Amino acid sequence: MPVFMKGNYIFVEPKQKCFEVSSNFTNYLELGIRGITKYYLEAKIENDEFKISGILLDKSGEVLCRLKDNFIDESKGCNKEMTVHGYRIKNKDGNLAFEIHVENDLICHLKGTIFGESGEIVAQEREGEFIILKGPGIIGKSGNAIGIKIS
Amino acid sequence: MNIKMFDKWKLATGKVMCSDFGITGSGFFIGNKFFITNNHVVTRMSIDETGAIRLDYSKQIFVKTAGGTYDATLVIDENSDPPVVYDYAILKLDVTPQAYFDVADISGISQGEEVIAIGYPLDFDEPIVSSGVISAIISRPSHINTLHLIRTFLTDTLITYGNSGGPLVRAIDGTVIGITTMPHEIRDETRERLLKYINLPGMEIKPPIRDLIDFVVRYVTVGFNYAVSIKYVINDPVFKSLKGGD
Repeated sequence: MPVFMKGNYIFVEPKQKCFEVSSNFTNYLELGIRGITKYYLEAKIENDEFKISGILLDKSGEVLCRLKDNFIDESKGCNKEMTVHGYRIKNKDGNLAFEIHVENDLICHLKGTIFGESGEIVAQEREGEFIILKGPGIIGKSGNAIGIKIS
Repeated sequence: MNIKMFDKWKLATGKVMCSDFGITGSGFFIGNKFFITNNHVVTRMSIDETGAIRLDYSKQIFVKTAGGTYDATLVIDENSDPPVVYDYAILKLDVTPQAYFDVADISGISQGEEVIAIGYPLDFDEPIVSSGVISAIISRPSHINTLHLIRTFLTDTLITYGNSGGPLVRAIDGTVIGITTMPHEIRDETRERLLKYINLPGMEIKPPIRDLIDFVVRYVTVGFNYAVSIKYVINDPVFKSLKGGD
């Protein structure tokens, strides 16, 4: 049975830096499992800075790029554009794959589509919300404590 | 610190001139291979209709040193983001420098330490030296993208237009700790209002008043200035790969 949660603050307080995920606010997001799933995304706040790392796949399940702390570590034909409030990663056809947009230096919005290795959609921005459609994943983390675990 | 040290530092510093963009700034030699300056000294930035930042690197970079004026070649990857975000550029000159700076051990820098800036500010055509202390070591948003924070030395050393790209040096041993970058802007309601007035569409401001506002916004600062940590340069993959050999 699906559960819908909105407007929750998971390991953050209002007016603290956070990521907006499915209309909830959190300090941490992990999609996939590092070293296990072919795709992986980790969004964290470290030393007061938003940092995104991971492996993004295209819709055929092939590696599009590897990100390390917001910088492209390895590109397989992707193109990164900086914007004043973040950046966009586009595939070789010039279509948006992933975007980061920081609002008022506080809220980091994730956009685009995260694909799994079979081309399935793992997470996607829909009508302004970044929706997680498939686990495994983690929303919110503090030390060893985990906010929400998605199986 | 003595006069001979100043003489050496001046020989290790140069004036950067981008003739295609009409921009000038400062820079300095690290070791006998690299000449360092700010990224914003050798680039021209624009924002397109989609909000993407577009950068063009100068194709006509010259560096004037005590030994003469030389062509400079950019050695960083023009498509690499870190030099843009952290505001550095690495150049090569076809000359062996008469003097150069060594890089400081950044972990040993303390608040309150005496520091010296060298550069070619304003319309000066010779190296100008100013001094102060490290007022704080801070992280501030990148000038180009608020997502990234830059490790920065805040200093009361005089740094103004044209100093950009010059070295901030530890007075105790002459090692370089940062790249002098820009003044810390006063951010208060009056400044914001002034900026808003001159940019309002249809606003009629008499030219002398517009010039006055421009001048005030540009030159009135509180006296604190920035130098980007040199660690970003020494961590650059191009710097690392070229440092070992040539």
